[in-house]
Amino acid sequence: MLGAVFVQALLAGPLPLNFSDLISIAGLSSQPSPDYATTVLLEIRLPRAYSALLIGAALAVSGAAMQGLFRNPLADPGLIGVSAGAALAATLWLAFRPVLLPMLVTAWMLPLIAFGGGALAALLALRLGQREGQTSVASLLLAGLSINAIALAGIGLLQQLTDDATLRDITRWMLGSLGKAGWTEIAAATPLLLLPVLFLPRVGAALDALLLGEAEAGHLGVNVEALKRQVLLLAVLAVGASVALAGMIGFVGLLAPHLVRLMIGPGHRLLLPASALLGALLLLLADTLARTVAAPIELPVGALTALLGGPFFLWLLSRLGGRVGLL
Amino acid sequence: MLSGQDLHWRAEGRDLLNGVSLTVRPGELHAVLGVNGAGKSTLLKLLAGDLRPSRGEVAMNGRPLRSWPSRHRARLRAVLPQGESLRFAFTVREVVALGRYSALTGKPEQEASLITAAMADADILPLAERSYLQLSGGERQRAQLARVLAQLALLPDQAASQRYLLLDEPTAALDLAHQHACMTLLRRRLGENLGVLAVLHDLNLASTYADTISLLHQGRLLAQGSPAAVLTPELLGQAYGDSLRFELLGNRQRPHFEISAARPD
Repeated sequence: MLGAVFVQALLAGPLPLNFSDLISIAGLSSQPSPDYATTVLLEIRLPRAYSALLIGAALAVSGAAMQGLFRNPLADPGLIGVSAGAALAATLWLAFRPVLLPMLVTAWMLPLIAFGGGALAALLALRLGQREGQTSVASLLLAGLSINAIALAGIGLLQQLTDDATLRDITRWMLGSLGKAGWTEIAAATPLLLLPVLFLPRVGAALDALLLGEAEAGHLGVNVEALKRQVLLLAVLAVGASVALAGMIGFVGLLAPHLVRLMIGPGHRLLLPASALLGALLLLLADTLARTVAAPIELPVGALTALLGGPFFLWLLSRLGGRVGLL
Repeated sequence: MLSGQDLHWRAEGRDLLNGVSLTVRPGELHAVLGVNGAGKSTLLKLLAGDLRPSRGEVAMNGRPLRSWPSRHRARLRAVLPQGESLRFAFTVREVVALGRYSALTGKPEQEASLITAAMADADILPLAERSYLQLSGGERQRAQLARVLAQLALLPDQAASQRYLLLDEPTAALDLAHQHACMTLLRRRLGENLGVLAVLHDLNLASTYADTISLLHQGRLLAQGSPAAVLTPELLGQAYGDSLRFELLGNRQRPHFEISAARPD
């Protein structure tokens, strides 16, 4: 299914391509295809579809892991201030970056800086959310809320202060779109996004044990503090890098894990990889729709993830909600 | 053995535990009694390693508890806390399987039979595929008991090292038949080189099943020893105050009491 959606994402768009174009561009056919088709596919659609898959997977798997870590369905990376912190840091960078840096350095700096901002916000939220060595989820979420507000205010101020060109950069980027990253940026962010997708599923058993409670997980032999550090670090990587590539994309990290949980239950060993898959699928689907539904106008992809996932989620909840006892 | 020496615990300027020493030996069931707030749960948390004593030391098998690597420690001692907070829709079998997190794992069929055996012992096997969230309080307690039993269960070829089970009010939510089934089960397990520490509220249950009883009062050890030595009307009077009357019902080895509210004269 993921494969089919991927192919569809490559073919759909203002310039229609067909399957034989795809095959010939991939070098599998002797029949040459027009140059513009090659360019559109390799330089526009392929990077876009690829980053949708990777960002969707990374956001969803971090969302699932953080919900498990805090045993709270609302503990989305976006809600504890990570996305907003990353966005603020990236905006600062866009507004004040030195003008003459080589392209490659610029491509690497943005994800790193977004990651740094996200990490700072996460640290701050965690520090404020801790009481006597225990993380209080309520304080954590309240701290995240405040950090979000402060970061968004900061971004708003920066937008007022910069010149028009930078403002356009920032606005385009804040709306959340997969269309602005080229191969260089994607190459820079790929390892940061792949790490969480590959490593978070490995802590599934520990996250299962943690659902019993922190003390109980400790009794079972889970090193709870190390687990928290590991999960948060990987989640911040995922969010920082995805914010750097595509701006703020909400809902995937919250919806995908919940949808999976409703379908296959709360066990993290399946939940984490399945969330990654569903997240990738959701974001790719949303992005394909975002750029085709109202073409040539492109809709913000974040709005579409919510539009797609929200009603489906409500439907599942009304059918199964009573049996899940999650919310 | 699992032993705490001269344990102190201070929180918010109050001494909740004051110089308590206690040893759990393999093959022995050790009961801890006392009124609410006497320090029973605090003592159990210190012995479990959840809290670090403000003075004193806990050692397991001759080595300070803190110095055990967490997975290794979890293979030798399991803890059943008071109350539970699981809010996710695991089945009972999945909850019990969580007990195997740190265990040396055998073949899949060995693991499955260990988990099934633990559920059968705790009499929760008929509910194995039910959602944990649909269970009653007593059924949840039995599922959690099966989980800690599974944690310390031995594979067929595994040597029985000295292991410990710490239980905070394991019978609190159980009906009468299951209370006795639970205690009988624990006694049966003592033969596997297992030491059990249980916080209990029922004097007669403790008297029937415990080898050693520690009676706590205001964070101090009021008495420690065999049921016959600890369960005397005098000591019980000190521990529970003068609102209760304890009338001895015979059996000197394992004394039983009729307990009633004292009449104000």
